[in-house]
Amino acid sequence: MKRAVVIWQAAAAFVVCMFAVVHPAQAQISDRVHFKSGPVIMVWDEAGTLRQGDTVSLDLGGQVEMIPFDAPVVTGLLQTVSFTPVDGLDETVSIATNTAFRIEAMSTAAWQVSVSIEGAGPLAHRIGPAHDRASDIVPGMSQTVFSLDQRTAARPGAPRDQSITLRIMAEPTGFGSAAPLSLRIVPIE
Amino acid sequence: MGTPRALQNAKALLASGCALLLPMASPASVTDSPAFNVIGAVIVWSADNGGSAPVAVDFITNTGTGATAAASASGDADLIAGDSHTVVTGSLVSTFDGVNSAGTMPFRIEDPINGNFITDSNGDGITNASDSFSAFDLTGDTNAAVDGTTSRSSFYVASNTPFSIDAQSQFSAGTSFIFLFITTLDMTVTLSGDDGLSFGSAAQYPHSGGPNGGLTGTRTLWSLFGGANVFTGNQRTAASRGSIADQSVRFDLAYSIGAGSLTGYDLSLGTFDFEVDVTYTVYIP
Repeated sequence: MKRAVVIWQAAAAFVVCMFAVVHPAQAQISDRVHFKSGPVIMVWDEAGTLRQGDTVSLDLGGQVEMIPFDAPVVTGLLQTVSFTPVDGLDETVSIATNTAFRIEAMSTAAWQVSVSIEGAGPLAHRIGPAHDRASDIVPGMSQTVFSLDQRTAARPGAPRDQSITLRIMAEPTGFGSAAPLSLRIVPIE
Repeated sequence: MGTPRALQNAKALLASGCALLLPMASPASVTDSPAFNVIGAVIVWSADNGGSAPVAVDFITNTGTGATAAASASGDADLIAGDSHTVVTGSLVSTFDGVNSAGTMPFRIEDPINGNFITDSNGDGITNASDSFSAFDLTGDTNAAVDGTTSRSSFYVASNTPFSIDAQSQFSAGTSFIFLFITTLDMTVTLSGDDGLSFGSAAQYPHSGGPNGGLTGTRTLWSLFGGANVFTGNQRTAASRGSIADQSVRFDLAYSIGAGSLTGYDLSLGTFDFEVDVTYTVYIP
């Protein structure tokens, strides 16, 4: 009797296997749902005077610029700060981010760029004591002049309270005609 | 006198006729019964795994009577092996990498001097290089928070019979459960249009209830984790003669995260990246 049961079970399994072979599995339509909140950097100039010379390409005028990582060419967003090096640069800007970031500098002329942390809002990460860092820009090479390994925003609140304040100073160090210096803020993922 | 002879002849003829009716030791006969049968069939078209579209990706025949999508349960046969992808609604662009992967979720800027606004200026659900907005005045109360958004995708179906659709969400390790709870799916049916290939000119809604007929309503992706029915139709899509595309309707899928679910998600919570696959299986009950 048991042998008959085993035979029947084996037969049933065979039929199931045959069915699986004859009828391919149902194909499926796959939909990939993807939501992300990417790195965002907000930059503003408290004094509203981020300018240098006559060909400043960025004049924040006390307003806020927003820089989504995936939007390098969005109209009205700060991605590159370019200016003609007439008297150099000495500006203070505030930055609020949800991501680590760095500031890159590039020019066809030699520059020295210095970035220091002047302060932080009450809801910003404690960055540590203010420090100066001077970087010599080699013509034709992009160079990191400042980096922060964490987002500025530490706790929920207004970006103004989540920001840090940086003082950016730059002056040409080469001879001959000056060339614009570009500053670029880049999220670090 | 002639009569008895005629009778004898008639008897002989009858006898020989009866002999013909007796079983004969002849070769076995072969019976043929020509029959033609058109069974239910459903054709699904969308994008293939390589991203090409439009491509017919499923050809399902009604070889079973099951009431769920599982091949072993429905008994239906899909004659086109392999999986496929939906397309971005209104286009024939594959969603292989996700509709919203080409940008970040919009931010809602609240309490600037010039009024609140959302960084998704063109309304496509994401903020990226196609958006543009002016610099805005900042105050101590100005906030920047992640805004709700919707991701939209579609696939097309032509059938000569009513059909059903089951959906199942699948996610990889590391996917945040909370997003499965706050992401909802809304399905609708579009009767006709032109997304690069005209469809629906010879079609009818797959349910007599119209664009929302037979649909199970809003669901969270969590509720689809084990698989669930999302549509059951009661009529074929093909209403009159025409091409496959002419007899097709479009199933539109809208995945949404509401702004209310993101309250407080500002810069301090950093970035996030949520990705989950939802698979749809069409079958004939």
